[in-house]
Amino acid sequence: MWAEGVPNLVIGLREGLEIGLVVSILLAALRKTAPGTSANPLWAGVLAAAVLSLGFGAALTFSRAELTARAQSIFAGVLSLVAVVLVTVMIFWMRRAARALSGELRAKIGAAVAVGGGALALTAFLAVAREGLETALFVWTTVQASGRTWVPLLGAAVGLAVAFGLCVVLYRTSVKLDLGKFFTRSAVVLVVIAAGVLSYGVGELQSAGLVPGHTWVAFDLSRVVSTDAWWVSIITGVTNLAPVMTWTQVILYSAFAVTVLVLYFRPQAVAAPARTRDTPPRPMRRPWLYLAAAVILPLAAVAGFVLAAPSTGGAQASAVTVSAGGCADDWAGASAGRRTFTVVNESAHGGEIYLVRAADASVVGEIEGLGPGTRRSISVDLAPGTYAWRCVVPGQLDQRSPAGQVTGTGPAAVAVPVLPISARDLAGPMQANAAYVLAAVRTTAVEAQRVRDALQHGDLPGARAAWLPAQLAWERTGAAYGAFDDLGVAIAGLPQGLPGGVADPGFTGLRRLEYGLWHGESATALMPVAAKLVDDLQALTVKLPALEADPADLPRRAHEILEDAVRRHLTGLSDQGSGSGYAETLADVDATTAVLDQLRGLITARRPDLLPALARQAQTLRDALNATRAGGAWRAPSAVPLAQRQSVDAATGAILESLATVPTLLEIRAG
Amino acid sequence: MSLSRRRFLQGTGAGVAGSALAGGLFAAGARADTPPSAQNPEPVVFHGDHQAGILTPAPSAGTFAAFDVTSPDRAGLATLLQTLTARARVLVAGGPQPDLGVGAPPADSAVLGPDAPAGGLTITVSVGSSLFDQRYGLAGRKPSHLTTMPVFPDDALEPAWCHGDLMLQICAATADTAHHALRDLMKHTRAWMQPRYRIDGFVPPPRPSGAPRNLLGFKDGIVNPAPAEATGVVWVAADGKEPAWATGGSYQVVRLIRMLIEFWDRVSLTEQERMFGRRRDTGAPLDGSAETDKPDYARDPGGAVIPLDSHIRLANPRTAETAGSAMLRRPYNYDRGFAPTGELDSGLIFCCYQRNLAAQFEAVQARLAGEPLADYLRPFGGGYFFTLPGVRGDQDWYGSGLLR
Repeated sequence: MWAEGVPNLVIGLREGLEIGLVVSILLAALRKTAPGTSANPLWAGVLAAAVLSLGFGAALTFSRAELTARAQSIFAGVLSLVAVVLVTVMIFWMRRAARALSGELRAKIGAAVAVGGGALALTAFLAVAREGLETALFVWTTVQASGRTWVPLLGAAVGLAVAFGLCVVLYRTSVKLDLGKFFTRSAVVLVVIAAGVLSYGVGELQSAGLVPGHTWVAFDLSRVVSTDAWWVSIITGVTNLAPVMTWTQVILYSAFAVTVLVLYFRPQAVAAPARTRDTPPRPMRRPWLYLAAAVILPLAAVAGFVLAAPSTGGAQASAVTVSAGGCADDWAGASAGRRTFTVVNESAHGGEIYLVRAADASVVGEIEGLGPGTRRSISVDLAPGTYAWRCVVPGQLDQRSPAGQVTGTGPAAVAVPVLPISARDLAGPMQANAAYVLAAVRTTAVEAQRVRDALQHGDLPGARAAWLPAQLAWERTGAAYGAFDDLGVAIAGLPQGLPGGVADPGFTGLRRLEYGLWHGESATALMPVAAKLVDDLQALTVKLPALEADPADLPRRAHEILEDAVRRHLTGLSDQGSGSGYAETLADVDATTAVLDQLRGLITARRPDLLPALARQAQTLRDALNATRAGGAWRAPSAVPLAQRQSVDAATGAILESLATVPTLLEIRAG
Repeated sequence: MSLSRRRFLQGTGAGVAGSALAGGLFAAGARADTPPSAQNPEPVVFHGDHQAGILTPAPSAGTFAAFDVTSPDRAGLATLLQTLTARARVLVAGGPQPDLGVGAPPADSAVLGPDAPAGGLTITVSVGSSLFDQRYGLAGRKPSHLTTMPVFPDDALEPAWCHGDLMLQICAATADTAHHALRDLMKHTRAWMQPRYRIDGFVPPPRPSGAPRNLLGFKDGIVNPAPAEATGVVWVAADGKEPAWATGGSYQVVRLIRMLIEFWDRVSLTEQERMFGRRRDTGAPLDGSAETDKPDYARDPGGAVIPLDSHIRLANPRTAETAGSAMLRRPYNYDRGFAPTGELDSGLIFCCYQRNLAAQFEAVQARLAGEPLADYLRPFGGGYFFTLPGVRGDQDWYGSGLLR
């Protein structure tokens, strides 16, 4: 990521040296033409120019923030092209006029001194502002191109500081730096950077649809290489090339770089300054043109885009930064409506990032597991109010950003802010669930003993009659999706995943009994299966209290039990002959209701309307399931008329859509 | 200042090269950009007196999904139709879905990406005659011609593939757009409707020109009313015979027709062409030279050139008495795996719209009964439906007139 500071370092160094050189010449000229004259007006002019340049940079930044995504693209694209033109002209102008510069400035100072302090300040202002505005524009565009803020800015600052330091040294001492060589070499780097800015600007205009060819992609390395890899960021940082580029961008990049470099190093052009060393300087009209263009064009563009593209409507993008010591210190609020935030994690740790309502810390947006050095975007429909960012690095820190105001009227947000939940909040429900499950497993063990007893007496009809209560008792444990590990498989595993299917020795437990009881196997043959089932259930009652459960599992259970019923029971996948899929689904409704009961307090605090709605939907599902019985007996789904099956499917689908909110609502969000 | 000839030429050359480069890049970029009509068409207008998806030119992907209403009462049926309207309005317009916040799973499947393009989607909602039974108290409001689709002589109907309370015809430029729409509609309506059957079809591009070809290799849909005539053909008007709410609706016939293409491929070209009455290569009637030529049956009363029992001659004899039986056909080909006996399970989703079932579809069907082509076709499903009038504004919904 440091590589992204390199272009601005070069720009800062180069422009800083130019500014420093101009100021040095002015100072020296002042000393020479009018010794004893105060240099204060001159410094005032320099200061004014610096303020103007910084203000210009700020104006660019803030006016961009007010634009829609498309207008931002156009804005950045046009300004990039302006910056490229300015920098290119500057390179050529420096090559031709650098040596004439000092004489020309000296003449100006002479004239200014004659007029007075104001003219002196104006001369300094004009000479420095031209460079300053150019620097601001170019720094701004490379910041846009890199997508980061502080690294490129730091690069520019370091570059400027080094340049000014050099100038002081050069001015105060007799150290000689071959400035001609420096400007020539840095010009090459600048051309490469400018080519990158050109390609970035054209890319922005393409994505805005102003320049065709957005889909004419030359290469897309974003799927091949990680954009966060250090070597990728060095290449993209230094050259401004992107992992995805269109042919238009690639061709313009190469054409620009090659053409400009060839023109720059034309032999006669290099030789020319040497020959004209002693010839009088040509009149310098360009800076005025330059200054006017640098100020008027971008400002006109800003005004144009702000007027033409009001900020209402489309999603606005803004960046939020997480650093080692800070959590979204750059958060300053937004306007209401659909907002897209790019969260950049510049810290060394991965973390959870939440956008929260300041009043009660309820969560309106989240990025979970944002890795170190990565960035991710979220879109949030923001209602007016006060919001802050919360950055949680598990086990390390939990920080809140300063609060920011969201103002204005956006489209009504449908999202309900969610009060966060910690693992501790789930301790009570977990305890209640453990007690419930233990009781249900004990009931299953009792029912399984009835099956075993019937088989012991050779009573196959009795065993068949006793099997369903045992299976339903097991369903009521809520044993969905791999609960209880291996014992769960031994007790109620299905034959489908086994190499030998129903004949596989690994096929044991309730389903194996069902298969045997409904496929004419003898009581003697099934006796060992029943005995093992009873043993396994008893082993589970012993093992259960010691089983470590993940608190995050319980809210998931709320919808998984019935998802499992759809997958196994309603489809007939689990049916080994008894045709009791609907009865088992009914028991699963009981298990779901029990889990919802355990979570009652947590759910009601967040969505008071949800549990009553779920209770109604559960009743509808129970009614639909019971309606499939013929003369009190359960029938396999395939034997039930279509309309009744559709009623069951409708009620199941409806409650599952509602249950799906429970796990997200109760997701652990407090680190 | 003197301008040397050399510098002038250099400058001109550079200017020409630069312009050529810029122009070339612009042209190439514009050429590479997908034109808005093909992959990503503009959203279809949703509100209007009639539903879209009838006179709208058929895009390449079409899904026909029949549902039964599972709502226990009339209020639930109204909620269903309102929910379908609200979702269809959003889906047809395209664009990102609202953010449901962190307390709910994502609002959208993202099958079409985060900003779901409209993709030329149309959703056309029709109701079957079974909706007008005792369940919702609608018996007295049934459109006059709406019945359960009868069994026609050459049919082999499979009950699981017939009828339904609702028929959703979902058409779009790409299959994933249709899938996305169906998935979204079902997600929001699970309590009130459940699927009965569904079949996906496609309209092939012209091969090489003109009307698209069906899977028998013949151009299909050559004679379809032009948009100007079609309004008189398809829309039910206020004529005192139909209930007032039905004005602006249309009768939809969906016929799922398997084509016995292996058998067909073993038949000589001459026989194939005589069964259709058209040339296979050009689509021209056997007495003409171009697809759009009108057959002249008056000059061929005995059927020497175009046999009397050929498909086009029976379907459209072009006489004054049969002129009223014209209908708007909007068929899709289907192709979905194998039949149990090892053939390809391919054929036609025949879909047509008209204002009078008896005078239009059934009249044509009666003439076609027993046609030689029938030996190569096996209609196995479908139904009669009534396409609801259009949704007229933001407050309106499918079937608001029916349920009010």
